Amino acid sequence: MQLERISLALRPRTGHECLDLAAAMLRSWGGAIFAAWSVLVLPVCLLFLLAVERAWLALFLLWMLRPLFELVPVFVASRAAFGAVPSLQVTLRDLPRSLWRLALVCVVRYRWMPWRALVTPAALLEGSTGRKRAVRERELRRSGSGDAVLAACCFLALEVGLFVQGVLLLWFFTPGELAPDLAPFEAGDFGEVRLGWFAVGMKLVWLASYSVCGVLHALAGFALYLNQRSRLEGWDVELAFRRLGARAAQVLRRVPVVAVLAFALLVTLARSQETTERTPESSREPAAVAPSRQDAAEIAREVLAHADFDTTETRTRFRFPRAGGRGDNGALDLDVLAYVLQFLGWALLVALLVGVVVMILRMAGLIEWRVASRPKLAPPRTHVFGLDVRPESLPEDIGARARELWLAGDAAGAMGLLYRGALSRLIATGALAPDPGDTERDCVEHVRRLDSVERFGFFASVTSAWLVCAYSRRRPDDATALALCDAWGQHFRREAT
Amino acid sequence: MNEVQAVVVTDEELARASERVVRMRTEVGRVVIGQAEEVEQVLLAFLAGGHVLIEGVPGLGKTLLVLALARTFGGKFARVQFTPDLMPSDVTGHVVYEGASGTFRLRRGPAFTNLLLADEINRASAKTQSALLEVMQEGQITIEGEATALTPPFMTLATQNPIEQEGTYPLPEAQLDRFLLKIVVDYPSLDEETRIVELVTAGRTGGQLEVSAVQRVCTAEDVLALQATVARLTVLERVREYAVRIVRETRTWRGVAMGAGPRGGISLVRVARAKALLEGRGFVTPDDIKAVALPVLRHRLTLAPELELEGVTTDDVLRSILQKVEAPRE
Repeated sequence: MQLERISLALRPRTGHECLDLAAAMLRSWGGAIFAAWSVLVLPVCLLFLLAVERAWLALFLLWMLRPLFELVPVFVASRAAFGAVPSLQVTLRDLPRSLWRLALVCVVRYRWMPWRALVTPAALLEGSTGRKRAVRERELRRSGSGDAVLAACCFLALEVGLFVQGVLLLWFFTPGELAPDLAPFEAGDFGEVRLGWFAVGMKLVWLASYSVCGVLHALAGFALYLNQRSRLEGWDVELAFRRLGARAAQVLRRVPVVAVLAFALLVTLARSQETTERTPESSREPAAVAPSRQDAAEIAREVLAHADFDTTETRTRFRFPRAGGRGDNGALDLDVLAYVLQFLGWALLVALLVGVVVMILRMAGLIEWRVASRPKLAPPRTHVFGLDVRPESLPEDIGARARELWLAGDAAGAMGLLYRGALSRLIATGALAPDPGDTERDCVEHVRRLDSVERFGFFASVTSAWLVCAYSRRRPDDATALALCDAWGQHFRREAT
Repeated sequence: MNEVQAVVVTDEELARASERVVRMRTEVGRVVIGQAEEVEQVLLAFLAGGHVLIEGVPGLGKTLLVLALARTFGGKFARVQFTPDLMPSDVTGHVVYEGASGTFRLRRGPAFTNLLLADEINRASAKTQSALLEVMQEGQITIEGEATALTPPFMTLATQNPIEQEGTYPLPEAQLDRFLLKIVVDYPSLDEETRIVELVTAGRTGGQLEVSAVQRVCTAEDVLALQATVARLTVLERVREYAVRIVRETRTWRGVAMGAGPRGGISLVRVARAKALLEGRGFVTPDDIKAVALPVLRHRLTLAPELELEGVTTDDVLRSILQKVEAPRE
């Protein structure tokens, strides 16, 4: 790596400044990045979206491949950052090998890391593998994973927002006759909605929003990676020294070289002579002899033990107390509580995951949501329209008793008894379950739907007679009333107590 | 129990009135295909002596309905197309100076009729709307300080288009309250529409409305007698109380910004009486109240914006209220 060729201004940046740097990179090298993206990523996406019948499956597969796709802009940006913007041919020649090498680790490992944008550039550009790569990733993540997670969340939100807006725009500009029928969707039947060509439009909108946000996300990760490296390895300091050295060399070129060399030679000789005179012969060591590896390690340890290298860093994090940690000295022992909370936390997490999976499967139509509808057992009604309909409140032979009342001149009592008795029987047999707001006609309607035709006809007649008595203060004619009294037992005999 | 009883309607009178009303409905139904519910509601408002606001898209037979109804009792019919430049005098009439005789003469407007169809009432300015509503309320027209009573029976059927709101002057709630019923006319079913097309196109040229099939079954005086009969039907205290409870519930119902006023309860009982007569009964039951509650109350409620945003209609709210309010108890 030729650091002096870097075309970016290296300096310690905050996370937000790294996002700015990503946007600047996209502005500068957008052509090369999107050219590579169009050739390597878009065809794969289109293939999945159009060839895989189930949209959710296509989106899931593409979601799994995202870390691999994001290597494309990182590759182009990494070359461009060191002064050589790669042509499409160069990208197509060099990148596929790296993609193939990293395909498995991207899907299996990086897919599940929310901070992957920070560490995938290391895997691509440094070429380390195995344990070495894990150590390297840990170093990078030490203080940069927070910004990487934040960037992932931001670009995910941006992608969703762009997608929704794009779909709405598409919807607004769709002529009415071409718009998909969303009636089943509004009725909650997700399986019946046929979006037709609109689904293709939605997929293309998603692809466009992902192309923008995916590239930006990858570049943001690359910017964070550069920032971490310059922080860890002092790239910015190194570059400053190199520039300083270059300037000094320029100054020296202007002074007469011979005079300087002569002066330096004289000074050096004089000092050398002085040292030789003062040093015993036995203690003289050859200057060219390099220290052994062991000595070098010892010297390094001595240097590192110096106070200048003694840095103390305090980090605070939550953790569960260790068993027996504080219980012995009389303090409150929270171990059990801690483990219970831990268990509940895990249980909640598992339940949430199961719920999400079930929801996804349900929306995909792979499983059906069947809730056993249990019949509601409402308490039996004792009063309807203010009438006591409990069986024990009624006489043994209702028809005969009503006839007696009618002949005695109590028309309202007689019709009321017939109606009350009919309600009581119908409620007891389940043919009627009146609501508080139901009127007499509503009850007749319920019976018409739930009971036999004959009994419905009779109940309607009883209701009419009852209405006359109840709301007009008049009497039905004798023949009608007596016929109802006589027929009552015939229609409700089976249930008669 | 304090029952306000008018002169009791005899069985013969009831039977005669009921038979006449049923015949009127049948005659109107000869030319107005389908829309049985709408025809019945217009008839109810007519019998109750009220006015009707009809909401529906153009071309659903509103004019035909009014024309047919006028023909059943030999009444006069007038139609006014409300436009933004319509002046009150275009509806009520005005006084003109006649040069030949040197006198002022009253030129009566279309409001001097029995059935007035005010088409797209919300397109006229508030001033013209108010003039018409005053006619509806007072039953008389004042021109140049001189009041002239309208010849009864008089009923206004105002229409408004639910779709086009551009350039309209929506009726204020206080004015809406003066309409006895608000009827929502919907598109006919496939069979009904096929019959309409067949009836209108068979052996006819042009698109004139044909109501010659409608027979005259009574006179304007008979209609007044019917209205008087309706007003005397028995309504028990608890049935009136049921109507009032429904109206009061609209004021406290969650999501209703403004409920119905006392005029709502009055209208409920008036229309329920007409409904009872139409069914051949001399008394009103809670079922009658419930059956007419939607057209009587739907224009007297104002829903809160959040409920409207959720797509809830006043009819939905009223159905919930009717389900909740307990029917009268013996």
